[in-house]
Amino acid sequence: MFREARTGVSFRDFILGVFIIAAGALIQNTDFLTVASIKPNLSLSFLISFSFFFPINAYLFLVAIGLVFLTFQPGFELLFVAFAVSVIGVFILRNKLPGKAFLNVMVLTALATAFLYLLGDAKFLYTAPITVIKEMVYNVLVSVFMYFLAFRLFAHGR
Amino acid sequence: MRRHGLLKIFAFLGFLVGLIYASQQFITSKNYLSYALSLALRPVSVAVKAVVMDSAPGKSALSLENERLKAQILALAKSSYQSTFNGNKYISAKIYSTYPFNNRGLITVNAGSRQGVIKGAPVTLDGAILVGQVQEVFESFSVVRTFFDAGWEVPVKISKDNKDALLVSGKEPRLTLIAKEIDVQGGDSVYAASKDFDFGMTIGEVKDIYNDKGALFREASISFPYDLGDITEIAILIR
Repeated sequence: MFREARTGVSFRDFILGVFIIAAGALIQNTDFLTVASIKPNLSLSFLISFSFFFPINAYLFLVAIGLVFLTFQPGFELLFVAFAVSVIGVFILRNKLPGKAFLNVMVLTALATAFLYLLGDAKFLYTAPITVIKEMVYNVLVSVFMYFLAFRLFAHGR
Repeated sequence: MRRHGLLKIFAFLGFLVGLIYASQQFITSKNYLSYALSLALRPVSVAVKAVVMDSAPGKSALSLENERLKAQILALAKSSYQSTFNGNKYISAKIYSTYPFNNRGLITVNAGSRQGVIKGAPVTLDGAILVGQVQEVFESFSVVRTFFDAGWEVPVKISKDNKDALLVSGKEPRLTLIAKEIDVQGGDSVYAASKDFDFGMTIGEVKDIYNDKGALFREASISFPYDLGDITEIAILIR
């Protein structure tokens, strides 16, 4: 599950990934990185970056960890299901886009951000489109940063 | 192979549902972790804001204290029950966490039914500046809806002349239904006039006024005497 010839992801890398996703989700529950009232979707950005380095089993576990630490209150919320669908969809699409990986990360992040709200809260998309665009830009910056960091941490075999 | 793939997906979805259900039992612990993390990161956040961003006028500690005092004076003057204003019982609560996505303006606080919090209770800063309203109550924590959560309309009055308006909440809250013939200026106080809150609770101030010639009413933006990301403690009114 953890060691793949293509990525060389080990158990240590997996634990590190879990820690990063959990920390990102916890920070997302604070206003620490909020800029001009826009909060970055750290969990989404981190998971999209990690989708290029982890195999499916490990990635799904990281998605589950992200969801657990993002849970805000008891009860069902469609937005969290939309989050899971978005990040899993990114994993499926990640190798189907042309261009360099970090460019694909940017495109996937922008699409995933829009899709998340389209599926989870469509009303927000047309009542606050500028907010969504600002968040998209912020998420893309975070994703690119995390992609390069993940490359240094996880891409042993490349 | 395809069947195997589908089985995997269904197994994962079932695992996810079970995991989410189990995680809801640990929400309080997770929220406390978020709170501890935000406290630990606060000095960094304050330092970055001081260096990189200009603080908006009125957001310094001294300015906030000034706004609180002004709001308390205004509330005392407006309240029908001046003798009981100071006798209103408040529960102080720490802000645990904020909603993780940008489409809602909710916060969780560490006071719930065990502490006497009830649904619909006003949430304030020191009893005079209205921040929001309790939306959901659990045993040890509550979810508070702030004025930055879309879809909430609150009747308000502007300034000492009691001019009517409607506060529409959202990412950028605004005042609507301001009659064109009344005189409204930037800096005029805005206070609650809803049956859900004590009359005269300060919400903020009028910021910029928008005068659309084709519209029947005017609109205005509103400035708040606090930054939601900077406050760590609120007071919930216990009736």
